[in-house]
Amino acid sequence: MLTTIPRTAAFSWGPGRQLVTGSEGALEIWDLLDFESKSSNASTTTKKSKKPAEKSGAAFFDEPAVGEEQEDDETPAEEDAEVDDEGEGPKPRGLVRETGRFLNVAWGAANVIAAGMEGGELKLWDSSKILSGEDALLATHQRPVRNLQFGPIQSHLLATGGGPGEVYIWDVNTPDGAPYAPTNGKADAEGVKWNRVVAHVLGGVGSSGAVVWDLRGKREVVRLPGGRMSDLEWCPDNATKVATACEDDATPVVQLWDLRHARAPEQVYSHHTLGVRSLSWNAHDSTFLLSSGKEGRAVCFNATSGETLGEVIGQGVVSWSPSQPGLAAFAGDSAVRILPPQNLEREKEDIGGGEDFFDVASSEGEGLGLTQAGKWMGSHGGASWGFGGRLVSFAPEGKSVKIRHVVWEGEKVERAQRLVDAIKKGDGEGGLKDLGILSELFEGDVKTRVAKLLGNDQDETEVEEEEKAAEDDDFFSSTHTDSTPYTIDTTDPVSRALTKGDIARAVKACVKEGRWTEALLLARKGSSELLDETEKLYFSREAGTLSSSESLVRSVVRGDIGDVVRRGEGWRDVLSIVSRFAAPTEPKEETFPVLVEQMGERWSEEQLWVLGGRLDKLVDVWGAGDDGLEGLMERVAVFRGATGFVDPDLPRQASASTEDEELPKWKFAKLYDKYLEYVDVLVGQGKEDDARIFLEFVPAAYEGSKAIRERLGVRSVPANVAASTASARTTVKSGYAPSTTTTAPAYGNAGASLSSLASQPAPPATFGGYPNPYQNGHAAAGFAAPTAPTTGPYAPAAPPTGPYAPPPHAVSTSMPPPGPYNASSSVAPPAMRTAPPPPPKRDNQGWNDAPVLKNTPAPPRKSGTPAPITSPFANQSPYDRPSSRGLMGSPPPPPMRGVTSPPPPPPQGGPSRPGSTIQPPMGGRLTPTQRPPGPYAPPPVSSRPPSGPSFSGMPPPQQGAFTAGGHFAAPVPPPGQGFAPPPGGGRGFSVPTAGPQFIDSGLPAGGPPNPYGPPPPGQSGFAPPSQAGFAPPGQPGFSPTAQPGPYGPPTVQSGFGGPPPPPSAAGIVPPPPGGPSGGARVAPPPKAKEEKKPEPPKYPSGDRSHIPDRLRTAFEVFESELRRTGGAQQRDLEKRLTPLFDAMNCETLKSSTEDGLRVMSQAMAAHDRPAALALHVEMLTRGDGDVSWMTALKQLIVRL
Amino acid sequence: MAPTTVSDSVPIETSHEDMIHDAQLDYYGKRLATCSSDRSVKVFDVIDGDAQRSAGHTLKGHTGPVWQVAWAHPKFGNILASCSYDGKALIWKEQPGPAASGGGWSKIKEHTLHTASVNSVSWAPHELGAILACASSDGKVSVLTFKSDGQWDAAMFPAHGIGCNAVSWAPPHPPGSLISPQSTTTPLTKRFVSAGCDNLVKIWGYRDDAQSWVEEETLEGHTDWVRDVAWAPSIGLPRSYIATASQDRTVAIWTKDSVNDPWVKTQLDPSGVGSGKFADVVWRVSWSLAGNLLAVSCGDGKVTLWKESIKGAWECVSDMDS
Repeated sequence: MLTTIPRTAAFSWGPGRQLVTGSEGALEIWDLLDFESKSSNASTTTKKSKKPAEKSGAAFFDEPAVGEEQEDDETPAEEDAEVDDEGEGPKPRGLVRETGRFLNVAWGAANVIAAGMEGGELKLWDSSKILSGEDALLATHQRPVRNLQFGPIQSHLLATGGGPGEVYIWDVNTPDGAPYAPTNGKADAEGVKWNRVVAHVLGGVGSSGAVVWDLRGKREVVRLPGGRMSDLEWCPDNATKVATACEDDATPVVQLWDLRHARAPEQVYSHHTLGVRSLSWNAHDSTFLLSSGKEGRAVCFNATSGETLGEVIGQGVVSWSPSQPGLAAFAGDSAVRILPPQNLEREKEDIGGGEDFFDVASSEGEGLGLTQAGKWMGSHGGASWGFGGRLVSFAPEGKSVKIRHVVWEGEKVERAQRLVDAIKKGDGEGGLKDLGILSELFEGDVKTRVAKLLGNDQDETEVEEEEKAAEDDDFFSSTHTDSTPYTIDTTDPVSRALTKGDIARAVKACVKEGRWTEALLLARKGSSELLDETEKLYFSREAGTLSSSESLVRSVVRGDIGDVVRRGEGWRDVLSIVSRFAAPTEPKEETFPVLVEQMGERWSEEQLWVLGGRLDKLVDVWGAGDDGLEGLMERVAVFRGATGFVDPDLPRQASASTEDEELPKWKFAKLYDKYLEYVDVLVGQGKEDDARIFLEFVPAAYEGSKAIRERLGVRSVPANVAASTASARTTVKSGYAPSTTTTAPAYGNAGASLSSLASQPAPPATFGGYPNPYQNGHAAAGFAAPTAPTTGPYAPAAPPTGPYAPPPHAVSTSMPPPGPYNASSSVAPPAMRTAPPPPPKRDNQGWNDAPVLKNTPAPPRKSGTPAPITSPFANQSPYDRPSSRGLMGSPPPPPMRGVTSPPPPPPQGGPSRPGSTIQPPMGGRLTPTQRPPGPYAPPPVSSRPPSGPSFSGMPPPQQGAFTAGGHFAAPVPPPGQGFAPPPGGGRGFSVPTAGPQFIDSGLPAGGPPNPYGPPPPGQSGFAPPSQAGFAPPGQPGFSPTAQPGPYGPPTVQSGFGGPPPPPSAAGIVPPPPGGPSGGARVAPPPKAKEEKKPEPPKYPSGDRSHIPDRLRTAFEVFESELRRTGGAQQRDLEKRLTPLFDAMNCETLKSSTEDGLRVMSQAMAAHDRPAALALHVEMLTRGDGDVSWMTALKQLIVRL
Repeated sequence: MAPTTVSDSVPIETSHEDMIHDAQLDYYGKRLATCSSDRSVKVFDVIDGDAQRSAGHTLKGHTGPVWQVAWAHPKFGNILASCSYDGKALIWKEQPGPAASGGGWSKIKEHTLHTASVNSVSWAPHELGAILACASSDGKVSVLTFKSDGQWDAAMFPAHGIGCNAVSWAPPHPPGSLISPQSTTTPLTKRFVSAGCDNLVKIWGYRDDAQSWVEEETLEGHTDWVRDVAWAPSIGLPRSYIATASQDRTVAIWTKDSVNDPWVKTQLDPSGVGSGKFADVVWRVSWSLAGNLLAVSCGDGKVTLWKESIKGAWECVSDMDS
């Protein structure tokens, strides 16, 4: 902004943006605002970047344009600042006509303008009156005044200097009053300036230098020697520092003095070549000192160092604006220029050789060009918010930052915490029951509840009836038999039909004659269709006119309770009927749940809705209650938990349809919205983990949830993961008590839900709907992942009935829902979890590497085992959907869509688990997912270390390699789950421990720690199930089915017994359950064992006497190396090797394995470590060898 | 009102060599960007409120003190904007991969249209696209629109004569969108508010037909420079809130109940005795992401948090050292 006041004038800044000028003919008041450009229309300039577009799509910021300047094709058009319609520029706001010539003018805070006139007068005006146009002159005094200044501290005091003896102090409160003459008239100064810190100190300059007076003490304090001084400026923040300007052309210097040592100046600056005319010291930042010299320059320099900070060409006097930091006025011969601190324009212009500096400098783009920013710029301290209730702040002048977590809805947060705890505890202490709401839901089964609901009425009525019935005891005793003989009348159509044996005709005849009773009775002797028809006919004989009693009878007889629901009045009575006469299972529309649901549609009764599972309606009722969002959440939670409510829409994943298709509406949209609202509240308070629990209830495909999922997902933190992993681990454990049946927890997550499921086989699992909170940790991580399908595995999606089908994580699909595993049948294990739609093949990290897969179709390791389906994935490409084998669709972790740019590798650096993926169906289904699921690549979120042994990211190996024959290499032992060694004594189980083995296998050596690297398929041919990030928490991914076999469903057992191996990937494979010996197994599911019985080993474990000769040497080598180990390590290795030795003993190894072992032992015997390692790798690659003892062998090799 | 609890925080040393002027967390709250008078911008990883010991990145490119940084929405990539006394606004992008192969932070755009210090940069709501507003001491505001072909448009216009200190965008959905049904065709709001050295606060709206920005309203009331302005994120109610911080040591909350109502000014009262003035200049105001808590930074080194009570008055619910 450039402002020029075209006046040759005496000039002074006023308050705010105002200035006053006194020039020939007038005293004028101006407002800088009038000089600003008009801003009503903004123009648009298109600035084109020179670089051609290289990328398409949302590549907004793709090309680094380092060093590339945007060229100014056009400068934005601006409107001229100074020219108004008449072309004359801005007008003054106020004006006073004056004939005299102004020597100087000053405007004080006291609304007084004072001027020294050439004729030797001092005039005072009221500035507000000038602005309002009234007569403003306050006083005129006949005193010579060359310079004047209002007191900065005492603004009613005006100091004037007019020469020797003509220094006066005026009090404008009494404008007419006589002035005070300091030092009794001995003062001599033409220029006067008040000290800016101490009120009563005045400085003066004149022909003999500078003088400082103490007005209170009425004395001269000090004289500063020097030639003729034109100006003096006090330091704005230091009372003893003052600057003087020397007017002498011979010594055109600015001197800085400290009055305490006034003999000589502290600094002498020689910026000017001719005498210095004026000085101004910036009030807002005392670094900036401004001076003007007679050579025609004004210079701004650093008061302490003298460094030049800016420069302007011109003749005149300079002064900083007291109120607008950085703005300076340069009042010269032809105009008063207002200079902004910066004008980078001139630097931008191409100053070629021909351009004259002066031209440029005086061009439109003018300013002081200060190279240093004043203290008034920038921010002095600040605070800003971040996701999750975080507040970032920094102090003024500070160099450090604080990040705090702010919770301002303390009560709500506490309440939410209580709710979350209750959810986690489920039915236990402190769980949902104890929330104290909807307690009737916990009162047992539906019938009881209905009975309670309907209250005593029934009882009363029944009692009455009973009493009545008692009275009528004789009712049925009044039958009698007839013994009179009669003739069979064949003219009677009925009799005739009967003699012919034609019941149907007889019935028709009765009907015709209106003999309904007999018709119906007769019809009972006929076919069921006849009866049905007759009944129908009876009830419709007078359509529409059945009495209420008749209608009811009809409904009961015909099994059409739906009709009662539709037409009956009085919901309580209808409910009684429904509760008594609803069909148990068929037809569906006559079953209690369906009928009650319909009732809920018809009657707005909360109880009906509760009975009928109409959560969609309940949301409205509860949401409108006084208890607010928190109350709603609590009720919903209790409801879900107590009734095992299952939302069929939950697993619905994002449809791939285009916008053309009509997406089905969401039945529970309102509920989802409320959940999202709650999630927001929790997140805002920083309770992200808790928020995730609730996010589980919203289908991934639900539009409104995408944003928050993304944000939460990415935000998950490894730390949480670790924590949850641990918990997940434990929870998984519980999940595996496969109780054979049913309850195959559909959840991938073990977790509390599992445990509860396990313990109560019957559904309604109390946790019906709740995701395992712990899981959440994971899940959250996993899910939250952007686009992660969502709802976590926990959401029991599917069939509301019984065991939940493994909720596909949102994705999935494949899983045939129904009752997955219900134990026993197992088999065809329902697809394991949801294989999330195979993530698009990714080429990162070798997720697709599973080279081994190709040949691993469940190598039937052991004979006799039913070719386990095992690892369906075994030879599938990672992204296959669950194949017909059924399960395990490779649950490649759902593609993490949200991940852009290299997804930050999960903390573990390993392929992360993408969250979710397979959730091993609870129940230990292992999904031998093959590793591949790479896609999880760094799920940002998940990083959750798989529970259970996670080897750098391997999803907990749940996968146990399955040995052929249905032995599962149990993927890492389900945390804590001790699975009994696979039935069958674990012989030959190489309990592959999934996971670790990979790490250990040294395979993919350089590969990214893709633990999943080559799935050890070799081993058991199962790709370790699910690496999926989620490795279902801890659940050993057992391929569900894979065998229904030995492992029956759930039970992961796979021999892992024992607590999940410590995640450390140290290549220590979770100790295989010591083979048959089951090391620490935890409750191996006995049942499972019973179901499938792998053949018992030929020889008992530990027996070494039957090792064939061809293996003898190898055995001995191994054994001796083992002995060499010593210590605890030896014990551990021994445990692992025992199955190997047993296998050798029973000759249950593949011949290729045997060969490999033989060669390896030779290498070992020769202490040829590299060769042995190479062989080891090769074996694993081929699939020869169970992970567990292979790992152990490797240890031995390493120790060679 | 429920008590507000604020956790403690151990200060994170940024190793800037001069005072900091801004610190901003990214969209996910996982990274922190700071800028300083030492002319550099630094980016740190943050986990659970603690900057990681692994030193952050230092972004050099400005030739003057850097005043503000602003993270773009992650959908555009890892993008950071910064502005400085040197009159430039720079756009930085983080490329994946190791530094040797081009990874790390690099400057991808330079905006040099301003002729004086650029004091503030603010990204528009991502629903509107990749749009950056800049406020400068040359009195102008510029709005840069980055297009997917790598080119960008700039609209620049005078806003506050003596200088513009801050800009803040309005939420993209019209107020009240949570209450009234919104058709899918409801246009997004493209509007921002600016704070100036002329003591004024101005609201600017975009006119599609004219393809230009129009000054819609001027809010007067402050008696000195307006240092910062913040338009509250929407909480779905029809009411709009704007907070302004001024050199005159006051913070004003401007509320508009509905489209047809005027803006009404309320002043925060820190001392509770009606004086309405803070102990020192108020430099920054910031709304929490949920839009209901206001953080005020005062030159005396204190940060106070304010919430609107049920009756409509503003109460200070917390106070801490910045």
